[in-house]
Amino acid sequence: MTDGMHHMRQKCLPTYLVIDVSTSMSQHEQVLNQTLKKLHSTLANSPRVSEFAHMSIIAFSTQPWVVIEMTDMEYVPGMPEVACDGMTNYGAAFDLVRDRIDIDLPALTAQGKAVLRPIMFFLTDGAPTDADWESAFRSLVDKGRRRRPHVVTYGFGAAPEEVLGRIATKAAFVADGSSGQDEALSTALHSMLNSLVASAQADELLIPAQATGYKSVPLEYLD
Amino acid sequence: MSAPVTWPLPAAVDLATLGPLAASISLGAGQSTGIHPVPGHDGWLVKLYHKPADTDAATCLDWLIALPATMPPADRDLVAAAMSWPVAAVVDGGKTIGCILPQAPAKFRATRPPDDTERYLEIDWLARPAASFTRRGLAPPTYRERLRVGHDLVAVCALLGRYGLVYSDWSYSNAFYSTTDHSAYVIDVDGCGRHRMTNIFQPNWEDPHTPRSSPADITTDRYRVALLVARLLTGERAVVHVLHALGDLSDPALTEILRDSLLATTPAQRPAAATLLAVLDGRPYLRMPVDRMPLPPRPAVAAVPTQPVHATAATSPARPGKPATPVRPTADHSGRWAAAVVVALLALIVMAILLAAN
Repeated sequence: MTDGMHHMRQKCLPTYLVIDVSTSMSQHEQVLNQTLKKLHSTLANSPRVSEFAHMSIIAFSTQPWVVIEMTDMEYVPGMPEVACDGMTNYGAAFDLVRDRIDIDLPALTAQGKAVLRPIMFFLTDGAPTDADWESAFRSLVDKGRRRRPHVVTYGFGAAPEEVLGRIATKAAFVADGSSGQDEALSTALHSMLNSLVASAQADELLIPAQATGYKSVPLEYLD
Repeated sequence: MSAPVTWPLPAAVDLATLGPLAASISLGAGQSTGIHPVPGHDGWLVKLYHKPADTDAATCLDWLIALPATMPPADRDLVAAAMSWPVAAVVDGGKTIGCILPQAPAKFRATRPPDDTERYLEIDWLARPAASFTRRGLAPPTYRERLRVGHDLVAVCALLGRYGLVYSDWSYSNAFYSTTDHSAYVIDVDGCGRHRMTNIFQPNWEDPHTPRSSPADITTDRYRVALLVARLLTGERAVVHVLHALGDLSDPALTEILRDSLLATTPAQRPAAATLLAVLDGRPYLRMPVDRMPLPPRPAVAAVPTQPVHATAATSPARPGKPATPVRPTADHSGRWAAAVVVALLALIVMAILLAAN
């Protein structure tokens, strides 16, 4: 396709929702599942958002796995129930996101889409339990990688503010304790959804400046 | 609740005279902070802007408010039936901070899965393939029904063009449609500019000849309304797929006029909305020569899954006794399984032979 026809390519923001489902999240399991269902319902019934913000959901605990592969959520009939168990290993999750980006982005391009830089929303309620997570993260966001994602983090419970600030490249939020943890989790997913809706309307990535019940964490840049 | 025919208050009302406003019926988006029912005036809404209108915008709004009174009856009827046209400016401290608009009639509301709450049906719902409706247990709209909705949208665009108004914001979310009579209703008409206005950008609605920083004009509207109608008629959304699917329409004249609008190399060559309307009406029309970009090839891979995408069991692979999805691509073990089955069968046969021999 020539440059003059570039506008004919459907713009697509690949979005990775990476959710901590370790044992400590068990107490929030019900809220997590309810909120994921609502997220799915909203996206599946708003084609203009779901066709722009294609989404993949990745859960992680001791191991990460792909819950939903990168797709327009309209084509996902329903959201599965998430069960929480295991450790909080960040590193393997970052490795999986990196691998999936290398699979998903070429696939979207092959569908004729104009693919924007991916974004990863990272939700956790705990500190990493793996010692070497940082090397996996550096590899994921390495500036030499053309497909490196933007990263937005939401932390609540025992999630360490300092770690959230190091992982985020665009914005980091940590629950300020003004609301319950369940509410904080629900707010985080709504904040992400609002970000996607606003981005779809604005034709650019828009990250909320604030999220109710959260305080912004200063970002710490790796370089 | 539909608005009464005539707004009962003056064409400029002070915010304070409206009394305390109820909660917004719409999330603040675009140029507004919210849209509120007018207390004591069922069927009318107050739209409040993010910031007071500047002199030009306030003057244009006043002009828009006064315009229907000067229109011929047929145009006034279309305004009343198909457009949320501003009827009054809302002022505060001498500044225009919003406007009064009629609420869309109830026929544009319907229930939709999954929650089955009643809501206004955005065109977004209609610009989908038939399969998208059947997946949700809904009867897909017929081509004729899609055509009727598209017709109303083009009629609105043609009316705006007659008065030199530019809408710019044609998209999936700024028009509703009725599942009963298949009419359409365009909202946010208060944002129209005279002859040119801000080029309102949304992903996948870019006019290839109007850079983001340039104002939109009537040719931008021609492109966007043609794209909207083409998406409605075909159920396709990606421009490339829309262009190809137009070839399947039963009316070749409609195919060609829409492709003229979408592929013209010069914006001025895009057919007027009035021409597109004539084609939709089956009336005589004059088709001017248009230099088109070539039809781009279809992408080799389908833009959407041909089957629903299923989620994997959302349980940690580390959890015992639960199915796990491989974290990374793994080797295909089917060959190994086949070999094991063959060995087991051979062992059974040998045992059977031995038993028979004994």
